[in-house]
Amino acid sequence: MQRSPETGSQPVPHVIEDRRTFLSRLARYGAAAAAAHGAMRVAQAQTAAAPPTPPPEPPGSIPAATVLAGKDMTALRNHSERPLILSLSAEHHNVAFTPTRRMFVRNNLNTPQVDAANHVLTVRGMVDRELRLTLDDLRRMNVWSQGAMLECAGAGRTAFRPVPRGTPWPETGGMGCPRWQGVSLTDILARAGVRSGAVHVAFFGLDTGALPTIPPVVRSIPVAKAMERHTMIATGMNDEALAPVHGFPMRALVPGWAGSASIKWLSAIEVLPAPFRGPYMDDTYVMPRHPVAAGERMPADTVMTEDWPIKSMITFPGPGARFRRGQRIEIEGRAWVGEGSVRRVEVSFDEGVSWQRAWLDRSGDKYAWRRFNLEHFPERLGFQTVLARATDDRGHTQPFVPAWNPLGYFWNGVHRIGYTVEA
Amino acid sequence: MALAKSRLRGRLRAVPAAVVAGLLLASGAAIAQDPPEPEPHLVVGPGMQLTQQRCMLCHSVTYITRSRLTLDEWRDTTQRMVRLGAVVTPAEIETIVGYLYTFYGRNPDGTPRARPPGVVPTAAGARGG
Repeated sequence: MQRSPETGSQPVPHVIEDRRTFLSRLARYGAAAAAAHGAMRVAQAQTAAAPPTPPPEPPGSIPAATVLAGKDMTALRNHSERPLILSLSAEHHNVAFTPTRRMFVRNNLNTPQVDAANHVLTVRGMVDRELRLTLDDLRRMNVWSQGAMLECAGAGRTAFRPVPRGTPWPETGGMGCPRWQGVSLTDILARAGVRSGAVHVAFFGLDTGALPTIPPVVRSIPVAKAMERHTMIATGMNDEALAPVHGFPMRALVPGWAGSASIKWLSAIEVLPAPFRGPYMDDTYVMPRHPVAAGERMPADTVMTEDWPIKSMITFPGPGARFRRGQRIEIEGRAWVGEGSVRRVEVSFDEGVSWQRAWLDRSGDKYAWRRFNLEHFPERLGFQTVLARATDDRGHTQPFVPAWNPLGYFWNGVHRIGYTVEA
Repeated sequence: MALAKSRLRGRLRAVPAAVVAGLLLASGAAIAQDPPEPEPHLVVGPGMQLTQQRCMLCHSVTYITRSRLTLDEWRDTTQRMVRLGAVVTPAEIETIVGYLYTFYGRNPDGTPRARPPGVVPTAAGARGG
């Protein structure tokens, strides 16, 4: 899909296509939607109750069914097909890097079909030279590879009490750590020349909305994070071209930060004198500046979600596992933090009364998760639990119950898995 | 009495982890557990068709069926969707918010709001006739 050249650098562009494209898209989609509505109404009249048939995805979209065919649905859980949301629970993360078929999905709109040959990434705003880069242009730059976490800000939301509204992410699952290939954003920005006074860098996605009135998905990040060399324009995942649902042909990767900043199907990068203003900046991905009591409304004073706090999960055993008394169990897991490094991981077999230091693999890419493990020979019979908590280099340790917030972001509570020991 | 209290406080300080673990259980943030599958159909009632037509352009029906929100929250959610490009008239918003609150409402104390008698999920309606 190729949209018309985007013009202007207004802070709130709503429809980034020209009027004729807009009208023809509206007409085509309007007809399809009307037909679907008609069918729905007939079904309603006949049965007062047929399961509703959703109208077709808008033109230029890849159907959810096509995306699902490329995913390992024996392991992923399907939370929603519109927009497509898939999660992977902790026991499926017991791998060095997340395979693409098991990488989580959190779309805001539909998956666009982008024509890579004609795709142009525009770099504009407060720059000395506007750039128009093709996929081939990026391939000729310094492409490198890193393992890095990507995690939705709302991952773990259902562990909060009360459960905040929003995607009901399980306690673990809205995250993964694949290997990414791409170009450091700072290399691209150096080529364009960032002017003094620049504050934020915005990413524009080509996600397809069901109506032409739907604004594009746009998020911006501070210039300092944009210039950090691990922030990349990724063209590959796990040494293959990006899968369509993961942003083909190119996407932002803002490692360690709330996943929403890593805009997929990237069409433009805009250097701005202030944070971008739009629904994906103002209405969502914000937290109270000062914590509020559970259940309270969002206060007026908010901050944007940036880096993930220290977090860990137990990847072995999985929930409900059964072992023999005295059997050797290798407790295993992953720990990570948005900025900084994981200093230690501790494991408890008595609900947090006492903790044992786990072995921690300190090597690896800056933003990749770290593996930990601990040998254990269970002596007690019956149902029991294992808990894990990580501490970062700033001395922050995972709490049992993280601060509640109205949109349910940044759950990083101590992870707890139950299993049974038999004679 | 005062002595017992102060001894209790001392013990609480001595075993904070156990106390916190107790709080963890009490708070319900217990063993990793998947949320239940939401119903795949809307409840039949006034405003259902309009709600279906407007919301399902962008959302699976489970977005509604998994939710129980207060009137304010449904109003706020609907207004947010308008800012995200939903095309609905003010009168339609009233119908949709009324439907959502009637059938997917939540009381201020967090309990699901009682539905009017006789309502059925659409699938059950289909089986019934």
